[in-house]
Amino acid sequence: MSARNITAERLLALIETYGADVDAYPEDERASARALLKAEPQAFAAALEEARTLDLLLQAVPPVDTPADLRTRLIDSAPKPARAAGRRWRLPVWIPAGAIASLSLGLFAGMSVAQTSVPAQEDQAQELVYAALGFDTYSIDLEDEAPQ
Amino acid sequence: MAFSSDLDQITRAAAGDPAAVSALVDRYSSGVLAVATRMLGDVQEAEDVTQETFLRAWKALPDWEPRAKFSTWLHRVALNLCYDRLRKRREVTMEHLPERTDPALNPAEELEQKQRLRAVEAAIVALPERQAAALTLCALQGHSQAEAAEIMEVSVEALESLLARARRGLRASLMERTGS
Repeated sequence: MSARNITAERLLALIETYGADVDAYPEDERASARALLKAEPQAFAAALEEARTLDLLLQAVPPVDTPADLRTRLIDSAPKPARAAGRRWRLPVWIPAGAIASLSLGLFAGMSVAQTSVPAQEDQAQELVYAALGFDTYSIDLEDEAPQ
Repeated sequence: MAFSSDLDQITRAAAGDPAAVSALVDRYSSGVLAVATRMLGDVQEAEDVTQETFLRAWKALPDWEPRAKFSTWLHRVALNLCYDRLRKRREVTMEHLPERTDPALNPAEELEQKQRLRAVEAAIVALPERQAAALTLCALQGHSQAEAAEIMEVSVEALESLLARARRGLRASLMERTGS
């Protein structure tokens, strides 16, 4: 950063803006400010004195530290590691176990009903066919055809 | 240097790295809390603002683009939250100013220092909000002119004007309080 030459008026403005400490001035104006203060100390003495009083009051304001409980709250509110996030979506063990048990029960029940109902449906169909052909009942015919 | 270090920590914090999260909190929370405390003059409200600021930061981390320094962005969010609260507030009560004690002082000195400190803090809080922000960022938090101007989204010239007015206002207010 290149140094900038400043006027006495600008130096007074800097004192009023930033106080008596030249290190608080914009970096490119510090060297020129120091040179002016050294060359004409009396010209700026009153302004510096007034600024210094306020500087001391501001310096007495203690820094603010983050209390431990606030620090904990801030950290707790942050994103959680991806590993933990993945685990959050994993299903509890009892859900797939319950699903398998339900499926097995359903399959068993379905097969049982199918075994008993298919012959009954076949009987009904054959009765219809025999009735259409003019026979009385399918069961009578079966008895007639039964081996002696 | 801090910029690239921030970026690395932001990336890791966004992925939930606890060490990076702690590092960001440790590096920036006191600065944010200090700005909020000086602006609002109320410890509880300042903590609320700090928490809200970091909540917004955590949400922003996954899409973070390093167009500005993380610190600048964070302080700007905090400052805007303070402005919002100040606008909602009609007047500031002195009772809510933070209390601090220095155990090294005797009771008389402690009382005197406490009163002086409370007067300064109250005078800062009583400044117009943008002047208080400029003074807090530069004179109390040690931000450079460029950083403070960026945080406040004003030019350096405008910042200097705010600072000069803040110091004049503060001096007048303190002289009025002390009767000198």
